[in-house]
Amino acid sequence: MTSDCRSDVELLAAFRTNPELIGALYERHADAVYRFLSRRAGPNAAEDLASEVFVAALGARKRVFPHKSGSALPWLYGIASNVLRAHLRQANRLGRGQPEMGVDWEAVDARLDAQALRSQLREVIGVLSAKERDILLLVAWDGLTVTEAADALGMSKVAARTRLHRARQRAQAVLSSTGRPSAAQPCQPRGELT
Amino acid sequence: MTALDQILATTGEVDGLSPDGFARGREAVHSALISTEHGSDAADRRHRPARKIVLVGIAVASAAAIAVPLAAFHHGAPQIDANRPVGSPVVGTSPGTGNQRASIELAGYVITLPAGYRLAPGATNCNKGIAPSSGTRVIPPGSSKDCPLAIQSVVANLPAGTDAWTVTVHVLSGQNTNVTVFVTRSGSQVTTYFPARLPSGRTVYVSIGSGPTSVGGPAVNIQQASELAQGLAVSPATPCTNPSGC
Repeated sequence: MTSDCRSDVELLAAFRTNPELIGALYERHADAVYRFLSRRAGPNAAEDLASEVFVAALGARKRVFPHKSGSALPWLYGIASNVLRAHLRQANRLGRGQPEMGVDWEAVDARLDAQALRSQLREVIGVLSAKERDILLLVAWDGLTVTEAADALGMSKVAARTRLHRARQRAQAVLSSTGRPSAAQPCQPRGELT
Repeated sequence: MTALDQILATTGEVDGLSPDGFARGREAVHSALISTEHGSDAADRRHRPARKIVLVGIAVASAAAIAVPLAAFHHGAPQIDANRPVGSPVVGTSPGTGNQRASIELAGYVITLPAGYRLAPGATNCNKGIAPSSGTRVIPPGSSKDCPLAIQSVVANLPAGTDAWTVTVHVLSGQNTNVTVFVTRSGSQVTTYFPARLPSGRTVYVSIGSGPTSVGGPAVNIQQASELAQGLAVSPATPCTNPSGC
């Protein structure tokens, strides 16, 4: 496995018939995929899950289509979402204390010094549907555009926009009711959601 | 910035992959690459038939698993320990279920996986504990605690009424391979055994537990399934606790 100077689009196009390019994709995106998983499943599970994602990508290479943004990440995050769901399902079956709702609360706690923020985030995430949560976190945590997130989640851009808008509205409503009214300047994902 | 954005921005900060973790992942992916049809010419000369990744699973315990009809049971002669009287092959009535990976655990025993398998260094997730790799490693007992496929017991002789099940595993390329396991049935429950060879050459049988079904699911790669069924080496000795091998 060596580094590759080709763009993601070129890599993915060639990847269908050249599985060895998984090495270049790993070199380029392993850290982002790991972070995606670490935010949701915790760092311990994330390392193993990240390699699962790339092994799964290897098996799914003939079905890959580069996202028009030019990044392979929406595709990889889509696979990562499936891997994560399977991991959480299994953890639930085994009765393990695993991250609930796809959020690693222990890690969140470590990053939040105020218990109040933790409970607020829990409330925010708790009122969202799984799809609303996924689109919100993909945009906010993983830095995807709405269209990239839509691609990762296998939904239309319109549906993604709608869900993200709804998610933000519901989340803000929760925060408002818990004493954290929103500020005047809304934050927008990069380049979209206007 | 809204309060929501502030919270999300704060909670979204996580550490990246460590250099060691990166290297381990790269090794796992590289191993998977070797196992793919395209990149496995050399590996295919060393090993047996199909070696597609993430195609079948061997699951026993989890009744709640999602059924994935990837495996089918059929009549056929046992491929391993053919000299042992293990009973007649039987026909399973349903496709396998489950998505757990095989795992190895046996108090008091050290189970050496067939060449090419190891516990990923530092891995705590039993479902990632076995990955194709070069060299033979030793799995420390307890390393796969709580795995649904954790080995539960070793018996010197198969219980009465044991049948050999030859499972045809269908892989994505259309290539099939057969895996033979030994099962006993009690009502709707089956208990599954893999043969394991002691250093003396004697064969014992490793139980991987009971469940309503025994084979199937999208987790274990075909090479693992095949090699597990070909026999594990088990040493009734002081456990090795070094994940990187002893």
